[in-house]
Amino acid sequence: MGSAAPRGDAAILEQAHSDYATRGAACFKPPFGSTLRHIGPDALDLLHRLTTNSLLDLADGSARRTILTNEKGRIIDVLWVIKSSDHELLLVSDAPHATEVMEGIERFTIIEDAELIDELDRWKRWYVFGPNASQVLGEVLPGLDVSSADIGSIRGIDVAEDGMALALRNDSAGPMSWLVIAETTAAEEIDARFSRNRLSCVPEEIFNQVRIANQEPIAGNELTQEVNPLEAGLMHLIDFEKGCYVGQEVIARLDTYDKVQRSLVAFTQEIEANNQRLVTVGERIQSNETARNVGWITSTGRDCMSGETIGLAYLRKPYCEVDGALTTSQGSTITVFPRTHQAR
Amino acid sequence: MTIAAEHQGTVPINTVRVTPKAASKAKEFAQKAGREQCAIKIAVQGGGCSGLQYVLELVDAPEETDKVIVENGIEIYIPKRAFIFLAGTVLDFSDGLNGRGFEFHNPNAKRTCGCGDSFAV
Repeated sequence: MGSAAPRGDAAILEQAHSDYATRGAACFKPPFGSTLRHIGPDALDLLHRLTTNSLLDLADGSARRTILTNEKGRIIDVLWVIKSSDHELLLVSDAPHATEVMEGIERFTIIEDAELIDELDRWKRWYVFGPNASQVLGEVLPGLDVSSADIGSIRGIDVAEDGMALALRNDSAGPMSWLVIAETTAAEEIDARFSRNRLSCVPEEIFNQVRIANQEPIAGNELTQEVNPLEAGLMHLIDFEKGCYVGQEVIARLDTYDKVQRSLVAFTQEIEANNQRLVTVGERIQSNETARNVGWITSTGRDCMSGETIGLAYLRKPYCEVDGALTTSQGSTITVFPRTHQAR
Repeated sequence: MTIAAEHQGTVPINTVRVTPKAASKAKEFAQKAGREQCAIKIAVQGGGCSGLQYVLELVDAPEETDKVIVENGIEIYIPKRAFIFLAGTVLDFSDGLNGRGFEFHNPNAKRTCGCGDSFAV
């Protein structure tokens, strides 16, 4: 955990970078995220009918990611569905709050015997990420089997007598990330274990730097109602064989007729070389020829290793094809390139 | 003009109508299923491209809170929570090569998807 001595932000960041580099892993306690419990005999079937991925074959004690879209096929939220039993699911997302997901599900709960409960206050969460994340997590939570865990694997463990913790292997900050969620009663013990194992709890800035370097989209920045799952590169979370769900007709049409207009891309910005200001989230990207808006910036950060300014942006498709320099509405120059991220 | 079209606009909003052709087809399905009497449940559930989709099934008896309508020799059971989305609806049957089977003509539907099974209000 962080030092008690008051220091400047730069020193804290430098120490966090150093800890992350030394240990190959870090932990981050996100101030965002929603946790919902979806209970009732119709809960799984309803969620299957409303979201992009197939859920009916989800086994007890396993997890799968799916996207809740609106009638226009735009992203409301990307959810991890953790199935406890036929009648009980845990819906976990990075969204700042659960309001939109609850509205998106409850407005279509008509005759179904299903109820959504916001459990934000019941669960605390930590991200453990970095190349050594699995090993470190195994040390922090002995007894938790972190070996051979693919994306979507979920492990449960009792934390002393205080409560239960779940560890979900995901890709929030890159290929080796775990989301640990624990009942509030167990949170203090988990914090103590992270501290005893000298696992630094880093500021959000570091988490974002690693996430952006790994070209991972996140709710609120890249995953919003402005875009659809195909634009966000989430094709692997869509089951095109499952039949109807909300927004399915639009998404199927976009895919069949190759009508996807934009793509999520990565970019770099050489600030020092050109003495430029750092581009900001929301800044528009313009065509070099016509100065017309062709995209917008969704995330910015600094690469932990190279120190280079990096970011993610949505860009109209013709401008994604080539590695090239584009100008933002504020006059900064960025170099865009297609994401090398492979769907996991 | 189809029977459903004739009904459209004239169906009281506090009921659901079943055309003689739809009732006849429902009876046919009930007979094939070995049921002595024909009772169908019409409901709405979440899902489908537009968010709400129709439920149509043969049943034995109504639930306690179902609205019960008798028309053209069949009993129709509608869950109360679904009735708000179905009030004024005409259930028709369309056969032939281009027919789509049972069809809902729902005045509450602001938008329907291509297959007609799902709608938005």
